[in-house]
Amino acid sequence: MTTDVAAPAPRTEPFAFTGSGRDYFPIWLTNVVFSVATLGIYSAWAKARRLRYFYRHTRLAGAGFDYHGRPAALLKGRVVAVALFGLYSLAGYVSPWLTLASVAGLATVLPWLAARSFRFRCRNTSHRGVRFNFNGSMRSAYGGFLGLPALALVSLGLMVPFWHHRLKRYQHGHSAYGRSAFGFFGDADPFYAIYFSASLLTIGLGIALVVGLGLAGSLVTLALTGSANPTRVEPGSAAWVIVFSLAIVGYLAVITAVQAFLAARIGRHVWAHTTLGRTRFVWRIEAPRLFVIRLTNLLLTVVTLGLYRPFAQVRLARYLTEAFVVVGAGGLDAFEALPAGDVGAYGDEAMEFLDFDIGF
Amino acid sequence: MTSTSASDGVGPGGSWDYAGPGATYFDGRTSTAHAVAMAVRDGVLILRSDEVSRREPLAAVQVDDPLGATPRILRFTDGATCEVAGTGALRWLAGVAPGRPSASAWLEARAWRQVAAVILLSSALVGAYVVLTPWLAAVVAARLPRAVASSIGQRTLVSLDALVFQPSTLPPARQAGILRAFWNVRWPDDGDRFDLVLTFRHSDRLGANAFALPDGTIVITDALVDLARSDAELLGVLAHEVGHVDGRHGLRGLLQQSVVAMVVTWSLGDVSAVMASVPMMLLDARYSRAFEREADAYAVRVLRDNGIPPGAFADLLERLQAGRDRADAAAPPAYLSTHPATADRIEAIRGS
Repeated sequence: MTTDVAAPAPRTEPFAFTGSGRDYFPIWLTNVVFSVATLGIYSAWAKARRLRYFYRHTRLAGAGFDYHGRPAALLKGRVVAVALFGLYSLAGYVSPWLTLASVAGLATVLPWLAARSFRFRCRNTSHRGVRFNFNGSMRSAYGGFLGLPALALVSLGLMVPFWHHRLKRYQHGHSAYGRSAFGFFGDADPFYAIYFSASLLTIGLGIALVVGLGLAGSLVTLALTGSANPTRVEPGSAAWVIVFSLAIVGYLAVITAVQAFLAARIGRHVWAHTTLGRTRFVWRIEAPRLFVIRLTNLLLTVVTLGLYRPFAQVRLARYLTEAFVVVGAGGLDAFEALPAGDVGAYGDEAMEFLDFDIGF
Repeated sequence: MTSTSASDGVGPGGSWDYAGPGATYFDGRTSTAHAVAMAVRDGVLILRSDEVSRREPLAAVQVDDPLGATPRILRFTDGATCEVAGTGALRWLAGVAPGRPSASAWLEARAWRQVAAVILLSSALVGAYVVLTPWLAAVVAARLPRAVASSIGQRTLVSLDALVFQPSTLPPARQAGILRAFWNVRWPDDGDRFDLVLTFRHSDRLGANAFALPDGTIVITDALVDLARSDAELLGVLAHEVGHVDGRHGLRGLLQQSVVAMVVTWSLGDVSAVMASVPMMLLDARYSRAFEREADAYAVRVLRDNGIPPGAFADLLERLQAGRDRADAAAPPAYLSTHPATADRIEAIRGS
């Protein structure tokens, strides 16, 4: 007698984040104190410690991740980044032509740095003893990063969704876990839809902000000075400080909201279209929750003059990590590793310093 | 847990140092996880599970230093690793491999050390802002080649002429009169100062205003000339601007603002530019006020030395302040918006 057994439902395995702000605070404080005391040299070690902390507390099915980047290599990269940035700043003081030349130079070098940066981060990340990898070619890097941003500028930003799609396709499509390659499917249309919605959101929130500030400003000045015209307020007075603070907070709230919207929508879409063999991914982040977390983190960090920052980082990491789910038809035990290799650190550091966010 | 070898004293007959959850072995070739029990006998690390059996001298196993309650990883030379996570397992490992003593471990061990570190760090930052940065900026500004300052000054004037300035509408006779009065003043010259050049502009955007550029060019707007009731009052303002040139405030200000910008940007990292600009503005303002006080003191000294009453300068400032109070938002006398705490300045000038 045969029994029909339905194919087992794919196992879903959520990530867990086991770190805590209380645990991380001393580590973060040591990082800051030593980095300042050594005028930044320790920051390479600080970064390695920070990434080890967050990677190792990121756990999937009872096993964590690990970061292998050597601080000495990170330091080399930081020195290069500082030198580049310094040249660029100095160029501004000497002549506008030099500024132009250095911007052009930086733009040329950027795709190479970005590609090396991905590779360094991937190869120095491991899970269950198997390292990740990145195989993106220089040609696709230059196509993705050099030509397209220029086009994006020229097209007044209309190419940005296209560029973002290409970037994610480059990152996800050329990454690997051991011998198994990640795949990225899907085209640029959803990116356009998301960016369009984000534009509408920005406009809507912007209008709401202006109207709200106008109202609040009039109310505050009426209450405190007897005049309902906010423009007649003396800078430095109590009414001015309140209105100015409201304006800043409102502006930050709008920016954070739009960023959260973009990050959540695009993040969800990108991971829903990423594969690893027969494994799929789901990233359940929601824009409203992400917005609240980021905004309160920001305000609390400012109010505590920075001391809340480690708690903020842990809080955000916990939310982002625990929303991530691996849907594995084949389980997580069957991946094979490649022989080890070594990659210099220039790319990783330069990208962080230049404020170019290319998180995996 | 079965073991075919009982000769090392561990196994069902012997005892494991740690057999709870939290120790996971990976062979480095596949991602398969093996929960293992651990023991150390005579300096040899033993890991065992149903599928895995490893013996390795502990000295040959690389263990990174503890990092809070973070899982620690034992690395074998063949690329295999054992991840130790959870309070119990970490506590056992801390006994076996406490980690090298390090400054960071020392600092992280006690809360009072961290409090002390915060206090020290804050004091150092305040000291760097109040004392070190201005001192460094003054030293560097004194040693920068004159070509740099000339270049900055000239390029600034070109931009201003393109953006906010129009040619002066003052009658040539009036301009000549002011220039004569200006050059009749004995300006202290230590040989190091840039050559002064006085030039006139008209600006609706900026109203009554005066600027000193790093290369020695001083610009005064028609509106400010018209507001003055005597040349003595104008000379007060001009002396103040010469004070900026003499003290190289333009260059020093640029350098100090750059340091502030660098530090604020580095520490705020991933936060928006608006967030960064507010603390930068506040920090820069303190530096600006210091320069204004220096320029005022210089002006009072030079005016006195030339027999011009400093009170005239204060009169003009008062008139500017009054105009600002009266004016509607459309055209405030901009001279005062870059020089905060005007009442204090007037008081200082009259009092000295």
